[in-house]
Formats: sequence, C-alpha cells, structure tokens
Amino acid sequence: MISPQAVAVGIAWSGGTLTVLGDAPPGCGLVVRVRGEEHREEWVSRVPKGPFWLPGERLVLEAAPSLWLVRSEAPLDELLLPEEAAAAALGEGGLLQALGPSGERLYLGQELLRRWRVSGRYVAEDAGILREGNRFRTTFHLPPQVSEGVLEVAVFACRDGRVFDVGRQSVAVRRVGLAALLTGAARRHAALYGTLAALGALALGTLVGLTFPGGRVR
Amino acid sequence: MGAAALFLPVAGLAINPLLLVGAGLVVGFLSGLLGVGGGFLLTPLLMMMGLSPAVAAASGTNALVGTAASGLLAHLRRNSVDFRLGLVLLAGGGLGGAAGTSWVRLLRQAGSLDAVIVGLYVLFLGALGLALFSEGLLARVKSSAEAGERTVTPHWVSRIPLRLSFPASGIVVSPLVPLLLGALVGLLAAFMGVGGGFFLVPSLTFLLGVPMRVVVGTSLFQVLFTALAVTVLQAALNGTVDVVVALGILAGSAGGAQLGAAAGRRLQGTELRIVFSLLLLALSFKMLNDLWALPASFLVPAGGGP
Repeated sequence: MISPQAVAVGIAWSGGTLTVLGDAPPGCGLVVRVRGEEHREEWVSRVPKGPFWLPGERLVLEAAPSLWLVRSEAPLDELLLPEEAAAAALGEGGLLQALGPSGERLYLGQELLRRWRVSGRYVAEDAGILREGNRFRTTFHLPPQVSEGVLEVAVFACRDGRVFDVGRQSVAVRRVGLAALLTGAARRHAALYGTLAALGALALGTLVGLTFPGGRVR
Repeated sequence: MGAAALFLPVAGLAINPLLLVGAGLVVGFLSGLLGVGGGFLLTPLLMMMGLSPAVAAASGTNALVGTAASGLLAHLRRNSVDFRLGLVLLAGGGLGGAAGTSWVRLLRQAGSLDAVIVGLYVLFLGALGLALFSEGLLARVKSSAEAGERTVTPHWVSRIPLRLSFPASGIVVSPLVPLLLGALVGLLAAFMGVGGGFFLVPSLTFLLGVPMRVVVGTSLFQVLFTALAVTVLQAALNGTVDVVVALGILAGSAGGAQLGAAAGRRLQGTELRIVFSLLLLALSFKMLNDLWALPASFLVPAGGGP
C-alpha cells in the first residue's frame, strides 16, 4: 500500500513524503525503489580554458529518470549478486549503465549522480525499512522539484542473492490549483501567458504609480 | 523548506516567498533612491536563490515592466519624456530584443548561456561601476542635473547623416544613433533580464547630449516597452517567464521604491552614486570570481532552462 495514492503539487508545495507499507515473505531481504518517468536530458561539462571554466563535452541522456530513490534493508551487495542488481537496475552501477556514459565518460555519469544526490533526485540508502514480523514500512522524502507524471514504486524481495518476487504500483504526481493553471498556460498557451504576464505587471506598476505619486525623479 | 514555501511553477522549485519580496524591496529601494530600474541586480539575486539563469533573466524582465511603468508615470506628470526619441529607441529595442531572444535559444542549446550571461554582467557592471566612480563623470552628471543644462552632442555624432530633430530634447542627430543604442538595450534585456536604464542614461546624456531631466523619463519609456516585448517573446519562444517570481518581486519593489525615494531626499546625489558604484564593482568582482573559480560542479544542464 502507498500513501498518499496521488501526489498533489500546489503553489504551497515544498516537498512531501511517500510511505510504502505491506507484507513481505519471511526470510527475505527487501529493496524498495521509487522511479520517476524517463525523459531526454542534455548536460554540458565545464572545462578549464585559459583562466575561465567554459562549456566542453556534451552528455545526452535519452532516458533519464526524473526521480530515483532506493532503500534496502542491507547493503545491496549483501542482498543481491552484482549481475542481479544490474539487471534490476538497482545499484549505482546499474543506474549508470542504464543512463549510458561508460568508459572514459564514466566520470560524467558519476558527477551527474552526485548532482542528483545533492538535489534529492537520487537517493540510495541501506537503512530506513522498518520490519515488524511480516509487515514492512518505509517513508521516502519527495524533493520540491519532483516532476509531474507517474512514479513507479517497486518492492523487490531478495533471497540467496536473487530477486524472487517483485511488486509494483504507480503513483500520479499532478500539479493542482494555481500551480497547474500557470504551468498549463505557460506550456500550452505560451504567447497568451506571456502577454498576460506582461500586461499584469504593467497594470500593477501603473496601480503603484497612481497610489504613490511621489517619487524621486532625476 | 517549511510551511512558508512558495512553489514556482515554471522554475520548478520551491523557495521562501520572503526572499522574492526581499529582493524586490532591495531593487525597489535602489530604484527609488537612484532612479534606475534595478534589473541589473535582480537577475544575479534570483540566480543566488537557485533559479536558472534563463528563468531568472526572463522573470526579472517581467518584473521590470511593473517597475518601469510606475517610474514612467511620475515622469509623465512632469512632462519629461521625449516620445519621438523614445520611439526610435524602441524600434531599435524591438530589433535587438528579437535577435537577442533567438540567440538566447541558440546559446541554451549550446549550453553556454551561463558563461555568456555572467561574462556580460562582469563587463557591464564593471564598466558602469568604474564610470560612476570616476570623479569627472560624477561632476558632469551632477552639474547637468542641477543646472538643468544640456550636455553638448559630440562633434562626430553630429556629423552622422540623416539628421532628425528631437524638439523635446532640443537635439538634432541622426536617428541611426538612438536606433543602435535601442538595439543594444534590447540585447541586454534578452540576455541579462535588465531594462538597460543604467546603460541608456549615460549614453543619452554624453553621446546625444539629451538634457538630464528628459533622459530618465525617456529611458524608462524605452525600457518599459522593450521589457513588455521581451517578456512576451521569452514566454512564447523559451518558456522561461515565471509570473509568480515577477509578482513576488513587484510586491516588494512597490514598498522599496517609496523607502528609497524617502532616503534619497535626505542624502546627496554624489554620495549616493559613489555608494552605488561600489555596489556595482563588488557585484562585478563576485561574478568574475564565479567565472574563474573552480565551479561547484563541472556538469551543467544544457541551456540552464527550467
């Protein structure tokens, strides 16, 4: 079970929580993963040129997850064989492999994950899953910049280094109220949105000018 | 972030709304104190709050519309706006703004927008800070403003062909010069989210010989319409205008402008300009340091967009 069943991002949104709870077979280790929708993303490295840091190599990610949160009951290498973790794209290595950069460009992927970790977009912890008998419970923190779309919550039951059962459920992330109205207008009616934004600022400025006629004029 | 957070839909991040109002207060204070739009401070302040350079510049321009409209009203009451000159500047601003908005898009795709914006800031803030700090310029500005006299148009500017009379300013110059100045301001607005008042005021005074009493009003006229056009273009082409950011800034700048105007009446203009120039130089130095210091990350989003 997941709570809440849908995430509402309103104008007062500053991040939230997502709690996953359920039953787990006895004698297994658990890994819980929350994955955001994938989209194309481009990054540019900064390289020193003379005294300045200027744009250099380009990193194109065709399927970058908007969110990647993983919790496990124990370190992943204790729960899963390396090839099994890679196949399920659970560990950092599996994620990097899915993202693309390898070989000489691996450092770009590692830097990317470091940035995502700082912003809360990528979290991997081997703690935080509470067990009481067969029941388990864990709570993830959703960062303020969580993207709209669907979050896939997957629970992996592991035994003897292998995944023997997987449960999946989806959670919708939607902008609501004023945030939804403004986002929709900015994306779907960009010219109208821009015109209204400009005219609104003009009206407010005029109102201020009329309300406070005094001002320093050179 | 706590309960006092405000989600910015286009920027895609949550910040404390008091930060936006505070930035507006600071910018409005300077605007009321010194008679400039304050956009040159707004973009770096927004970037320090975590907004991408592209969203900071576009949303700052949106807020400038309100600030400029408020200031222009005061000048209209004093009949200190040269509409003919303003329209020529505006035509240039439209061309520069349209070109700049398209170039912003290309630079976003190339991933070099950060460096361009920071580089332009360093260049313009540093140059302006040094210019204001120089005693000769201060003396000329002061004497022109106090005596209400017109600075003489430089000889080489007077010799440019296609001369046109601008009666409200009492000058006869080629419209190509204000057209070019307007185009440069349009570029500045698109790249840096600034209205260009800090660039236009000294340019109109010393390059065209426009009297000081007309300069600021005419500059605000051009800034207002350029910012209007750039806001619409940025929203339509780049999707980088966050209206919540602009509203938060305007909420603060209204009060700040009144406080600044009140403070300005108690201080001497020369003192104010020296303080202002030091502020600009400090900001310029800080951004130059950002450009050559080891970056916090050697990977940046291509385009710095939302």
